[in-house]
Amino acid sequence: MIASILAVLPAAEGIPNPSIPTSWVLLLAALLFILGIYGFLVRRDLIVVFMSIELMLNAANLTFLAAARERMLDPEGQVYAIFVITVAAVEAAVGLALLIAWFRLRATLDVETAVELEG
Amino acid sequence: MDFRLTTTDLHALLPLVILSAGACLVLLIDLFLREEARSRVLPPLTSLILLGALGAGIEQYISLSPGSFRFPSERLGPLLTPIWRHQVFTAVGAILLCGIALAVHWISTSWLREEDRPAYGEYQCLLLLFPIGTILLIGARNLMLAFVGLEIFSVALYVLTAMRRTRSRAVEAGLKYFLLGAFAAAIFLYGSALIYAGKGTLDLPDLGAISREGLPAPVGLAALGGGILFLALFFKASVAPFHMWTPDVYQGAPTPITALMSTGTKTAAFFLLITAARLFPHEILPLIPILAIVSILVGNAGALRQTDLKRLLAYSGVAHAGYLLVAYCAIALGQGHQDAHTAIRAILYYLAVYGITNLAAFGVLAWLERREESVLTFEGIRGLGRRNPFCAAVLALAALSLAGIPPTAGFWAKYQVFAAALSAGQTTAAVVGILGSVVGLYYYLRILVALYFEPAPEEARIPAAGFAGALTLGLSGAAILLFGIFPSLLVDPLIHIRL
Amino acid sequence: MSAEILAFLVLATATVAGGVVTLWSRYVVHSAFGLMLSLLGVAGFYVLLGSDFLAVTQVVVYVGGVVVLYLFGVMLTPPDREERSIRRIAVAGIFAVAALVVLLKAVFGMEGRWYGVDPDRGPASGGAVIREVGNAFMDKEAYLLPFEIASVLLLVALVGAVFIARREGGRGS
Repeated sequence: MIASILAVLPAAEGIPNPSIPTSWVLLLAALLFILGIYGFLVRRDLIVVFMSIELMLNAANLTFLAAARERMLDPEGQVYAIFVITVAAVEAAVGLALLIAWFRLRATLDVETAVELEG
Repeated sequence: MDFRLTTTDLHALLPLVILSAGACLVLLIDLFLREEARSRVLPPLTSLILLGALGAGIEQYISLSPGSFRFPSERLGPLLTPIWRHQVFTAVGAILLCGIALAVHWISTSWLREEDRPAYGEYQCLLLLFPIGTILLIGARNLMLAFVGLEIFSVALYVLTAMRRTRSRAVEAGLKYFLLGAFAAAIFLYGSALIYAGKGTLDLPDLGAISREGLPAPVGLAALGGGILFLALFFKASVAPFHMWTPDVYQGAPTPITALMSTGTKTAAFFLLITAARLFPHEILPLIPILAIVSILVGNAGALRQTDLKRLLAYSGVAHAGYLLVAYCAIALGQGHQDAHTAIRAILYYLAVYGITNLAAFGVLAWLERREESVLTFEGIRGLGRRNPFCAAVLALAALSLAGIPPTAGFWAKYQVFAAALSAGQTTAAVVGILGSVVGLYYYLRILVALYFEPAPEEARIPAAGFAGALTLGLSGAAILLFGIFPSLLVDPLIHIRL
Repeated sequence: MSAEILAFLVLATATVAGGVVTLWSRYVVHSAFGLMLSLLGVAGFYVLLGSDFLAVTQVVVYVGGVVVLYLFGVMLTPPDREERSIRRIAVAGIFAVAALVVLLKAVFGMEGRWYGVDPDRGPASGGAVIREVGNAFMDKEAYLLPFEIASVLLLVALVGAVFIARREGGRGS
């Protein structure tokens, strides 16, 4: 595995910092995405769960921009990344509003207490 | 490069323009009204806006159908074409979604009046914004636009689910829906990012072209991205095993919102599944029939155990997603355009019928639901045939249609779906689907038995329904029968659908 | 080792370490600061990838906005001492490792086959790209429609968040 990672060629010439291979960045994004999934599945504190989702969104953005750089700084990738940031802000706002409403009623942030609906 | 929107562009986007302007108008007017005036002014205004959007959709449908003389489609030109499908497909979607929103609005007027502190402005604003998101999802030629649409209607639904914000059940349902929905959205985005990394574009036609022309079918990153994207879509369409949220959220949400969720979300998700069919990675195509079978089994098995009617309809919704996937197999796995177009028509027919039927069923439930958080169980509808014959008749028709018994529209819907699958060679899925429908008969007939053959409880009181609610129920009941007896009424308009 | 590689390694460490702190810390405040570190690391990557504008946006919107929003959320709610369930950690861990293997395979399966590279597109500089991005947002054959529609999304969020978070009996009393 290590050998295959090191064997990856650097990115194409004519783009910013070509000595950093795009696959390294994609790999880092994958790691971030999986950290997010892990947090979503393991943590019970609602705020931390929201933060995990933010990590996943950032992984998507990093992928978009790494892929855009590989294509000579394709503007489309940056446009998409801006939409993702917008969506992240929207979700943070609505999520925290729901969290506050929930907290007013229950005085806890533990997801496991959400069992009133028969499962 | 062109920065100006022309009138033809606006014509292509007319339903969206009407809805978004209407939503802002409702918010603004709401500011200046007194508490009593709100209930008199805002609901008719909302109806008017939705009718306008519906009319715009119908006008687009007429002008886009071949053979129309008024607006030949060439005259519309390639203005927004790189990003927007100005086609019959989108117009049909717009008509369906505006119709659904209108029906939900009518169902909810009397229900809303019974609330402690009816929030007319916000509720109706969000109700008007919901179809915008779904229409975008249907008409988008670009995955990012589709995603923004998905997010618009999802956020509107999270909020509407939790709109009774002093009741912990509703807030819990909203929170659950939000958590899983945001997770699915993040997965959708990461999938799109991988597709972009692999292919360098998110335009759906280009993506389709790349996988068609000699170049290898989606491999590596793009294939993985496609697979991940479909996970998110299956979640929205509540296909098993991604349906865990469905029963809880359906039960906790206010009944009219459940109606909106079960019809609108499913319709939009399947429209996008159809458009994005080519993104599905080829290696795991055989999974689609398996998912269809699992959904049918899980949905029917879950529904058998339920006593709560909303949960029952949630599980039946999972099963119906399975039936739809049976037809979807024909698009994904079938040979050639003929199979695909038959299957698309079958799916759209099914979605329309399922929408009407579910609106009827949830409409009756919303009518029966008291101001208190009553649990809608089989107990609650016992002997309804004598207490309120109209309600009972509509619910019975809806149950028959969901079960797929002639002469209701549900029969033809199921028939077309299974016929499309069989002609594309998907025998196993179709057979499981037919067997599943037979199992489904049990719990749908249980509804009929409770309605007509069981004595009514003593203190049963039926709240009065408004005129609009009764009209919606009457219309949807009539439509179930009409399209069941004359299925061509609904088949013929779909003939011009092209992918 | 060139300066770029060094920068990559430092930023990668910051991003991943921040993410791990976010997930692992028992105190939500620590999680919030871990998230902030991670997001700043990602912003650094954007600079490295030549997307300066996105890096600034990331710092302003995320670090300045979203994380502060989370910090408010943390302050409004008391600490919650949750217990760790070993089974859950194990299941999620196995799932995460499996997902990582699949992703690794896909990423290294690319072998330099980047479709959609425009052959006519010359070497790019950050400044020119910002202009292109701006034009793409305003071009109706590109992203004018999603750009306008994003305002509808923000309207939904605005109305929704106020609707849900408002105190009971808010309006008019």
